[in-house]
Amino acid sequence: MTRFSVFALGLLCSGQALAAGLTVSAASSLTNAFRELAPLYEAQHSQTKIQLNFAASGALLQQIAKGAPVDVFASADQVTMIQAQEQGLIKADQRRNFVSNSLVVIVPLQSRAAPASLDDLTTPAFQRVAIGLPASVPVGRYTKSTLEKVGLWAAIEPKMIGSQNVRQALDYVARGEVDAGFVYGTDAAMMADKVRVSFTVPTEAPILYPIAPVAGSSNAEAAQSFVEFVSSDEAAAVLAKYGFGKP
Amino acid sequence: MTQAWIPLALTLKVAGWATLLNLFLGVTTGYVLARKRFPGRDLLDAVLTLPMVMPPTVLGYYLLVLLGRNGPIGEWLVSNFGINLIFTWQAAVVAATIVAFPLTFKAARASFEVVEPQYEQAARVLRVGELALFFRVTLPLAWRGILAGLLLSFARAAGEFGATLMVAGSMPGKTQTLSIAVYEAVQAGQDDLANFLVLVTSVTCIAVLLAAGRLMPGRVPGQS
Amino acid sequence: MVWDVHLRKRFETRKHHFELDVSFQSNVRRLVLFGPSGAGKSMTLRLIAGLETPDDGHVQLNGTWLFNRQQKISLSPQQRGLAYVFQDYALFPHLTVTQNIAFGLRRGLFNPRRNFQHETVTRWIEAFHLESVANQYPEQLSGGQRQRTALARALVAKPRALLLDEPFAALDRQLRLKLRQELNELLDRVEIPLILITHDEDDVAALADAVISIENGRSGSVTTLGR
Repeated sequence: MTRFSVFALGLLCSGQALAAGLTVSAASSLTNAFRELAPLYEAQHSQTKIQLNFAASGALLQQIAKGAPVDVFASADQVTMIQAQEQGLIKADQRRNFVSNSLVVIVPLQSRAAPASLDDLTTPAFQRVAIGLPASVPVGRYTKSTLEKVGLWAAIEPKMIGSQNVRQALDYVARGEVDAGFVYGTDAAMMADKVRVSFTVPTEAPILYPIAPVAGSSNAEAAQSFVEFVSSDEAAAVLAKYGFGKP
Repeated sequence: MTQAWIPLALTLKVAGWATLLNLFLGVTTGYVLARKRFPGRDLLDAVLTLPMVMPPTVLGYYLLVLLGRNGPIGEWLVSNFGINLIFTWQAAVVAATIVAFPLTFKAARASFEVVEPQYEQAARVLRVGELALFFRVTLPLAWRGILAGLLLSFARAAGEFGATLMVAGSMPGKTQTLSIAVYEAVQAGQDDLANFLVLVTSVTCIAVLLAAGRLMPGRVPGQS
Repeated sequence: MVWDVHLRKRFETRKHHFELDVSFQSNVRRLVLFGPSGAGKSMTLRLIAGLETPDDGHVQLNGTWLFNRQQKISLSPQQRGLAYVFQDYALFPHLTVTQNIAFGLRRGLFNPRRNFQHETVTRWIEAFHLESVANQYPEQLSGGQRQRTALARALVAKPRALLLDEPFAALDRQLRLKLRQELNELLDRVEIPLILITHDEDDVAALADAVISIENGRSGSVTTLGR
């Protein structure tokens, strides 16, 4: 019985206590790329252990705003980072853009109907379209502003199936639950076996991802060093593998 | 702040239907498991209790796979009835019913087990048929425990989030229930709206519990 | 023959093994099954009432088959038309005395209402002196009142036979004497066959036309008594 109690106690208390931790909150679309970048960074900085946290940029911002112990924030759009800056949550002088991305419309792989343009989405062939929630998901914001610019938002919004983050939109399309979806080019590449890209959406401004150390970080040095690493050529090569472009 | 009323109405509608479904499913299942002996009865009980202990997102995932357009049940529904459940309020009802089902059926089973079989036997000898004696003898003696289970069921159904999000999505006016609305308001940094939604949810829950307390009569003579 | 009964049933749990093998034929009006606790008397009565099913055998009452394994006859308890009084009376706790007594008169999905009026019910309430407690609930009654209510409930539906399971076991000696006498008078009036089970010899002496001993699941022969 005592052996079991010691074991249980050990489980409860387990966790890294040795290396200094660096918590990185990154947009969902960066999931796979950052999972490859983190060990690369750790190999070069053995005293640092990286904890990755992925969600929609809006959700990540709220966590930081409410005091979550995050050290680095990488968002999928400028709007969220500007909000972070306005709230004094990031170190504005170290903020920089590190990749670019594209907005694409995808359909399920076996689907016969494939829209050639945004106008096609207004036809009855497309009943359900997966779009990230504009209030908190950058890909949704890009989609909404682009559609508004061409006057198609009113026609397409009723068909919108809102997703909590871009990966959920991707999943809906992969599963065939929706007829089409708006995701990043990099996400479409991740599931090439289940979805196919119909066309790339021309956005008004290029899609640029910013990254910055968080103001309240307890590990400012490592945070800055990670931000610089992500902007390096070495990291750019890894990111390019996943379809991210130069900023 | 009118944004709160639509999710509230939707939550009550979804939870209401889920509880009604559980009234029939849970009471029937509870009765069968309480009264009938058969091999594997305990195993069946455990399996039926699973939705209560399973993480809602896991449950939601199973439901999505089963009910989705390419899933076994979903495909059958689409090809035979042209019905796609995903992203409908009916899917939210399915999710809410399943997660809340164990609460009803376990309470029902326990309540029926406490009713002495002798009462049912006495009714039989007095020539009252099986269905009639269930409504005249068994249920009146078991209903308070069942009602307690139903209330818990309702609360669980109203608060259901994980599984609902997966199969019903979040569509304002159609499937965006209160818990999902709160979640999204927080994600979007709309704290005022989040606070208001949380307040509405809390007041509603308290009101339901108070009303239920009123409904329960005083001690039935002869019962403890 | 009033009763022609042959019952065989085997009970197996992980720990115990019990075999019931009871047979008797009787022409008398008042039959008593006598034996110690655990002998199988209650089980015999339940099998006769149809509350449990025997593995083999037959039950015939006044020429009518209630159960016959060979002929594949097995009437449900609802169809047997018997009256059964349980050892602790099994009065419905959520119904008043009147509603309990009237219970068998309503076959539908609803219980008799609290203000239910019926000639037969009133007659029995008066016969058993239950007027003062007619609207009370079983938990408010004394032991004797409960027993009488249970009897009234059983008799209201004009049963073919009366089965009593240790009717006086829960009562004190004084009450037992009184109620035995009442039962005797009642049986004189009602004229339906009775099977009563008991472990009390005084019950046998006071009530039985014939007695059968039951021990360890086996029945002895029928002993007729001059009463």
